[in-house]
Amino acid sequence: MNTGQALETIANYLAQAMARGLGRNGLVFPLECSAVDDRAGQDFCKILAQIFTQCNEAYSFAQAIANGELQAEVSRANIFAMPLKALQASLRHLTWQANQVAAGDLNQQVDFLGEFSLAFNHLIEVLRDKETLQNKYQESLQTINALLEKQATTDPLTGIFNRLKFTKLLEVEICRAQRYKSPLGIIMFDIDKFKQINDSYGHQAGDSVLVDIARVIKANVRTTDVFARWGGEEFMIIAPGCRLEQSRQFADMLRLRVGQHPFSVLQPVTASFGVAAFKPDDTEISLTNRADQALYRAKADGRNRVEVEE
Amino acid sequence: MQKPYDFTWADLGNLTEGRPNLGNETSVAIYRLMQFTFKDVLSKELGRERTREIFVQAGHLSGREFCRHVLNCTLPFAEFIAELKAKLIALKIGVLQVEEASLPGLHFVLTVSEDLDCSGLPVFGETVCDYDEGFIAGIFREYTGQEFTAREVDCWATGDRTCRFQVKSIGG
Repeated sequence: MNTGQALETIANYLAQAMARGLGRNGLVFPLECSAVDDRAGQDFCKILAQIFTQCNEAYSFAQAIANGELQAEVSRANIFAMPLKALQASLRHLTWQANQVAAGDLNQQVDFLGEFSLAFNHLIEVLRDKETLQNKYQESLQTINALLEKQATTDPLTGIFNRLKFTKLLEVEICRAQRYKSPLGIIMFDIDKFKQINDSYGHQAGDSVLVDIARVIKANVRTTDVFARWGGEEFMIIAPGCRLEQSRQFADMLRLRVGQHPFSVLQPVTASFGVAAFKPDDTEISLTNRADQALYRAKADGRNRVEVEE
Repeated sequence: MQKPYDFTWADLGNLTEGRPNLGNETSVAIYRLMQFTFKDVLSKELGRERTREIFVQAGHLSGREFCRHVLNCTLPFAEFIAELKAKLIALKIGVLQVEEASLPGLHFVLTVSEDLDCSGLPVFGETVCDYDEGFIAGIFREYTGQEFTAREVDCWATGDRTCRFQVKSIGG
């Protein structure tokens, strides 16, 4: 066939292809190039046939990309596939970015992909805002928890541990003393004639004495000691590592400090002390009871003194 | 014999003082003109392979200096890459994307689109971004303290539309 006939055949084929779509076989070159009479026509057909092949390949490549097959390959020389390769590279990068975001990396940004860039970057902004909000809630929660913990364990007037916290800490110290067979002293003290202070100077003055005495004792106990308000005008001290005699001396030192302190009321303020030391079979109750009994004897024997357990 | 030249960042000079009217930018065509004419002359003097090696070495030096003076090497990896991406765009060097990143294995696959060296070139059939290979390896060397190779596997000059680099630690 001559070149004109070849062109007509090709044109008819392409018109049908445009009407029906590529179908499963894609573009099929409708004639044998060698059937064209003249050389120029043959050469033209060969080039056109190559273009058909490239179109088919680019079409398959585009289909694969559209189906999410991001590792699909296409020949390098395919001029129709070139923009698709750029898209493929962008999709591969977006895949990596999505995994990064899922892992918590909110530094990711997408550039030069028009509306998608805007949407993705907006998503990151929203996630960052949520993360900031979540962190703030977390901080607030921690602050509230710390406050509640403090309220649950602290005496509101004096700021030292309350009885609940003291009991828990005493349990821990008793376990430690049992495990390591280490000495453990306990001191209970009570402000002498506190009711009289309240009656004479008012409850506000009484509270002031409580606060003051707590401050004096706190300044004179060790960092390893536990100091708590037991109730009313009674206080407790745990002295880890102290035997009975050491605890007695410790209590006497505290007694003197209290006696020397210039309280706001116009009468001397003193305290009576009861001391006990841990024995292997002790519980929190038995130990505190012995300290309490010693304190009772200190009161009975004249106050402003230290008595040890019998 | 003359002492060899040792590059320092200060040698880039003060562009504000030097170019008060023309500013600190020029065209990509001029950059490529310089690079490709260098390639032409060097390859005729020293051969293609040696020329390629020289370009990689120069790129490596450039990458290390760039990392030291332009980037924050103390950032965690994700933030470092984000900063690197932003700087490469701001300086119009290219658009960096990560396809794979294995921090334990120190293996990465990076693409650079609109690459300064090659985007828009005709298809030569071989990769041409030798300097970029060195540049990327130099940046990773400076950031991690370990030696890297960066091999360009896809390039505009081979018919792709992004440059793709396989980056690996030499020890790993």
